[in-house]
Parts: sequence; structure tokens; C-alpha cells
Amino acid sequence: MNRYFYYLILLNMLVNVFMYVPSILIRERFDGAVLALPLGVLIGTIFLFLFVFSINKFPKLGLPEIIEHTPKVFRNIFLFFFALIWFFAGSITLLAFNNVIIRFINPDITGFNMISAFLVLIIMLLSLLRSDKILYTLEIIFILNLPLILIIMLQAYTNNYLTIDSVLEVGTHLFEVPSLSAIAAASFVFSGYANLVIFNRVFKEKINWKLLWIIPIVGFINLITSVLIPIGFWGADGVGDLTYPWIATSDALRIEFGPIERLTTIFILLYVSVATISTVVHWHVALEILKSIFHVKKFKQKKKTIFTWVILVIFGVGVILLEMNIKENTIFRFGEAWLNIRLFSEAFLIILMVLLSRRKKNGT
Amino acid sequence: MGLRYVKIFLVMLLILLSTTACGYKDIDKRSFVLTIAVDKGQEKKYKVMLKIAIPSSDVRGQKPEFIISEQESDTITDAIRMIKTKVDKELDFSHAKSIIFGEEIVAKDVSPLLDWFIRRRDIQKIAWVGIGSPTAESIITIKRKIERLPSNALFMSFGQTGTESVYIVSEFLFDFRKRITEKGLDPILPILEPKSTFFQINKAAVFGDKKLKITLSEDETKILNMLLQRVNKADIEVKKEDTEEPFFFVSAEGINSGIEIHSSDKVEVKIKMQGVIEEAVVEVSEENLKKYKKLAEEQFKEKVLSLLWKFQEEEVDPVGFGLLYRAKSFDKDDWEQWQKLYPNVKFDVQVELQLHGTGLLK
Repeated sequence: MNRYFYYLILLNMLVNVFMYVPSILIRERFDGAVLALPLGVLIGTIFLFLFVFSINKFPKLGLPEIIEHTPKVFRNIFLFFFALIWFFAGSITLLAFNNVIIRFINPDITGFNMISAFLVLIIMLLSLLRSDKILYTLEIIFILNLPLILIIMLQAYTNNYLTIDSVLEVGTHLFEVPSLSAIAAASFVFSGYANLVIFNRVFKEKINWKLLWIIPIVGFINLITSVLIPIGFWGADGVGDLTYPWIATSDALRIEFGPIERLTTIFILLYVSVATISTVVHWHVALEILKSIFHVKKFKQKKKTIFTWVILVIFGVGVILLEMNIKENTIFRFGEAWLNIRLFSEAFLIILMVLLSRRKKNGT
Repeated sequence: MGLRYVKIFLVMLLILLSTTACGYKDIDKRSFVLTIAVDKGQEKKYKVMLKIAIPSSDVRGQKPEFIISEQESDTITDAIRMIKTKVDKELDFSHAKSIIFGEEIVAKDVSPLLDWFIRRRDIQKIAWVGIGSPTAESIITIKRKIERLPSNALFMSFGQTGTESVYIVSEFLFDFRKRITEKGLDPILPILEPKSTFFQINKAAVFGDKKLKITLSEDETKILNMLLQRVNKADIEVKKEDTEEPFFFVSAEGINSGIEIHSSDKVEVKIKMQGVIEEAVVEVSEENLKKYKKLAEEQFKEKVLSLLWKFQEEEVDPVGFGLLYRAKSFDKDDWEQWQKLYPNVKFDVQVELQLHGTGLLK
């Protein structure tokens, strides 16, 4: 089961394009984004190691079970807050790629119709699949998509029109103090481990320590790619004008003798599946946390199903309301705020987990 | 229990998926734009021309059929909207793989013109950009005899899939914009000239201050292409010492060039290549190979230097010396520093040619 842990981390690394991570870092490319990259890697790695260390003390338990014995009020507020965080994580991805799809694939459709089409698929997956099945789905999607994503990356790195000097010019702004948003954005690529708060329930064994060192390296390469490649293609000065740097960058790639010359089409279609499964994973965590707050396990079968559906409908309506009421630019600011809140709540989660794991060690 | 919900969901999914189909227009209700050309208008600011392909059922033995729809307007959006009223089908820009600007229009600042092309989602950022001389119209109205599909000749010459020429500087739309916005890297565009039933591309235009500044000759275009590492094969003419008579030609390959800035007043340009003698106008002999190599290196170095001096004089920088300086300097005002340095900077050109032989003849 151990490989599924890496899939969860990889998922966040891939989906950062739709979480506005490149946009935020590119906006601050001359004021500290460069230093934010290693800082983000450092913070993300520390969080990752502490979290894995603590959760290994609680095999087969999710966060709700781990904090079972804390005061009830604290437990409920804490869990509800985290459910909200995870719900918004899924929502922002969904809203952002809904926006991209409308703009690039089907410009004449209304936002409501498009997002409903995605919602039906996502809610269906959520209502049918248990935690372990979601991990299997994740694996299948990766097996289908990763080779193509790697081909796109290879095309980007070997392109003649990639200006290395522009990338280096941004690199020379290393000694600037990064802003909070930049650090929060950079550390996001590592936070896939946090999904373990629910998925640890289905992990049969502890997370293996031996391979963990690979994550900071892959994460760093991933961050560099998602920030610096758009700069190399669109120039250090011109890249700031782009609303979706990665969509524009994929539009600058071509495979001359490929079945489809313009790579952006393939890129968007690949990312539809990655973004969809990411929303499913995040919402599944939110759903399971909510279930634990109300102790749904003790309910009867019929009541259980009704509860799940009520939550899912609330999720769906919530996201539709967001879609109808906020515009492109607001989603961006919303996403940025979410990233900042996420950094702090993640720190809080880590502290709590470390304390609980220490207590367990002392107690037993 | 669960199965019933699945059924309901599948039905809902089908209904929703069918609504998305309303957004699409069928392929026979679309007219595909292949080339977008913009000239200076006679009354208004722009004259926008769209080359639209007429699809035919039989590909073989057919002449390329196209129509050109044009409209004068002050903005491109308005021009496109007016063209829509003349064409009965939905305009589709997904196959617009080349964009031609008239010579007059690039004599002024091009960035407002470019805005529409970058902002629109359906314009490919990998479209080729070129300058039509004297007008863009003269280029897109040409009916080439050897062209099987309309506008295909343009795509073939820029893409280097068909002809491979060292005189064509192929520019993508995204690269053109990068060069416009980037400080220390100036835009270049190929110039297309009409010749009765075809067009010729062998010159390049260099932009400064976002507008056309100098036009390069064929030879200069070739050297620029080599400096930019866009070609790795070229032929080099060598003249007899102290005369203008051609002596021999070297067919060079494996061209590798690099620029370096170590001190603030000197730019080092290194060009490495290897080749054989392709055509000797006057008799050559294998024994003097070393002498020929030296002669070729020296003459080529002179050519490169005079091109770089030309750039320096006009204060344009298509090779990207300024960007390299910015990339090396940790100062915040590195661009201002470079602007002061560039007019007085010295160039140190080193050419290294490995002459392998005299071809099949001794």
C-alpha cells in the first residue's frame, strides 16, 4: 500500500498548476519568489517528515480516531475546520479548471452547465467509492497520464526557444525577502501527505522511511519546472501578464510530426483528469471527516446513505454558488488566501500530531 | 439500493453531456482561417485580411482554393466582427498558423497590435510571424503553383519541414512577444517578398524600441541565424586575399556558437564549426588546407564583427547580450548599467573552423 502514499503527494505536485502556485510565484518573481522555492521545500519537507513520523505511531487510524479522546467541543470545531479546508481545496481546483475548460475548449457553454457536468461525475465517484477504491482510481489515472505529462515536460525542456538567460535573470533576484504568499504557494506541492488524515485508515502498513528522501528532490524539480519554464518561454518581463502561465506555456509547445501539433489541447485534456481526481480525493477527505464528526458509523445503513447524499449535495450546491458568484480574478485571490490559511492550519495539524504521538509513546 | 442511484446518475450524466454539445458548431458550419494578415489601412488604422480555405471533397488534382476577406478598422476586434458579417460561417482560427504584418505597420510600435493575438485564446501561440514587403496583402494573395493546400507554402518554409534554409529566421508568435517585452533581447522577423507566382524569404528585420529598425541583408541574416543557434548547417563564401573575387565555398556543419560576458566592457563571441570545401572557383590544393582554414576563419570573423557593430550602432540587440548581462549581474539596476555600456562595448569574436578536406575532388 505504500506506493499510494507517494501517489497522493504526486497528485498535489501535478495539480499545483490549478492551485495558482505558478501564478503567485511568477507575480513575485523579482521580489523573493526565488528564495521562496528552497524555503518552501524546506518547510514542506519538515512538515512531511514530522507528519509521517507521528502518523506511523497510529497504524490504520485516521485523524478523527486519533483525536477521539480530546475534548468534544475542540474535536468537533477542529474537524469541521479541516473539513472546510479540504472542501475548499477541491473547490478551488474545480473552479479554476472549469474556467480553463470554458475558455479553451468550449467557450460558448455557461459556467453553470460546465461545472454541473463535472459535479455529476465527481459526486458519482464520491458516492460509490470507498477510500481504498479512490486510491486505485488514482493509480489508474496516473498510469494513463504520467507518460504523456512527462513527454510534454521533455518537449518543454528541450525546446530551442526556451531562453535560459531569462530564467537566470530571475535567478539573480535571489536575495530578496519572500512574502508569505510565495512561501505558502511553494510549500503547497508537498502537502499531499495531509490527505493521510483519512487515507491512513486503509494503509495496511506504516509509511516506509527509506524512500522518503526522494520527495524533497522530486518536489524541488517540480517547483522549478512549474515556475521557471513559463519564464523561459515568455520572458522574465513578459510572463507576468499571463493569467494562466501554464496554459500559455503549453500553447508555446509543438510536436511537429505528432498527431496533434498544438500540445495545449493534450495538456488541457490530461489535466482535466488530474484535476477531477484531485477534487475527488480532497472532497472525499472532507466528506469522511464530516462523517466522523456526526459518528455516522453508528447510523443504520439507510440513514448513512442519506447523510452522505445530503453532504454531497451541499458540496455541489456550494461550488455552484461559488461559480456563479465569483469571477476569474476573485478565484485567484480566493486561492491565494486559501494557500496562506492552509500553511498555518497545516502547521497547527503537525504540532497537534507530534504532541499526540509523544503522548502515546509515554502512555504505552 | 446503490444500483438505483447509479442508474439515476447515468441518466443525469447523459442529459448534462448532451447540453455541452450545444456549444459546438459542426465542421461544415465553420470556415477555417489559415493566415491572418494586417496592413496599414488607407482610411482607418488597420486593414485586416483573413485567408480562408475553401474545403473541397477531392484532395487530388485540385488547385488550392481560398478567399480573402478584408476589412479596414481601427481595432482588430472590430475588423474581425465586420468580416464575420461577410462570411456566412463561423470563423475558426484554430488553423491560423501564420500571421503576416505589412511593412508599414511594423514601422510603428507593434505592441498594441500584438495584444489581440496574445489575448485571444483561439490564436495559436505557435503561429509563425513574418513581415510582408511591401505589403502583407501582396504575400497572401499569391497563388503558388506548387502549393497543394492554401497557405501550406508559408507553413512549410517557416517550419523547416519542407525547405531548410539558413536565410529564414523562423519566429513563433510567443517568441516574438517575449522579445518585445524582454529588456535586452530585441525582436527579429523574417521578411517575405512577392515574386510573380511565389514569394522569397531571405532577409530579416530587427526591431528596436518595439518597431522595425534595420533590415538585414541575406548574408547578415545567415550570420544572425548562426549566432542564435537556429541553424547548424551553412555555406560560407571565402574570397581571395585582398580581392573581391570568390575563391571557394565551405559547406559548414555542426555550427555551435556561444556568447560570454566576463568583464563589463567586452563581449566574447565564439563560433565553432567544421566542414569541407564545396565549390572551388579557382583551383585549390589539398596541401594548402591550413592556409584556407585560416583565410576562411579570418574572413568570417570580419563578417560577424561588422554585423555586431551594425547592431551596436543602431542600438539593437537581437542576440541577447543585454539579457545575458542581466542574467549575470545581481545588481538591481543592471539594465540601466547595460544601456550605458552597450554603445562602447568591445566584441571579441573567435571563429574556429575545422576544415576536413576538399570534397570529392583533390
